[in-house]
Amino acid sequence: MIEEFQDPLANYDPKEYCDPVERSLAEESVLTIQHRPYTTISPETPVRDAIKTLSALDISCLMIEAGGSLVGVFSETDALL
Amino acid sequence: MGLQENLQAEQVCSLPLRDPVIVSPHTSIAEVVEAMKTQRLGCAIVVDADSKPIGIFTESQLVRLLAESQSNFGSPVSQVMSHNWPTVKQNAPIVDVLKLMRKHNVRFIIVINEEGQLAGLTGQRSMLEYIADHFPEQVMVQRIGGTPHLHNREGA
Repeated sequence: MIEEFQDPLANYDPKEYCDPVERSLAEESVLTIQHRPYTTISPETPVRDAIKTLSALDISCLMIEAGGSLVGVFSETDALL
Repeated sequence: MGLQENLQAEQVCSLPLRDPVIVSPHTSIAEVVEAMKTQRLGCAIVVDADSKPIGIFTESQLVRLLAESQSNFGSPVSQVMSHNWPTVKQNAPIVDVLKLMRKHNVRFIIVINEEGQLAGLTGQRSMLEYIADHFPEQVMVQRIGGTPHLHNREGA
């Protein structure tokens, strides 16, 4: 007996957006706005050097990288705390 | 209404405004930093005797001071604060906050009343909360998926 075909998209309602801002916020990925280049430091970097790097480059955070992986973030707020 | 329409129709006072760190021009930089740490805010607003904002001290300025070896944290904040920081009136449309942040490349916007007195603090964090509230379904899905909540650690 042949099973009756059921369209898997039968109950799919495409999302409706009220305006282009909503659409782009909901559907565009962070890839479209991510900031490059970014600056990395190692976990062993002294805090003083991290602060000097933030100041010299006039940026608000540094990526902490170890073994090719992101392991943390050092930000201006960390300097405050 | 859509987000774009809301941003133009709703007023700044409907944003989740924050109670800013308020200091006088004579407050020492060390005391200002301590107050920012205690209230977990990325800036302090310097006001005059009439509660009108005359300057701001941000964590970016703190980083610059820490990077300089000659910084004196006992000096009054008025010596290092930024003047002419962008302000927005309470009854202005929310979209003005976005425009000001973009134009001046800043994360904090000072909110003032009709008399020009300090009424609150808004900026990047307030806007994030506002936009997240507009998409409750998507934000909830993301949190269930294991993305940690933002800690209350940064700015407005």
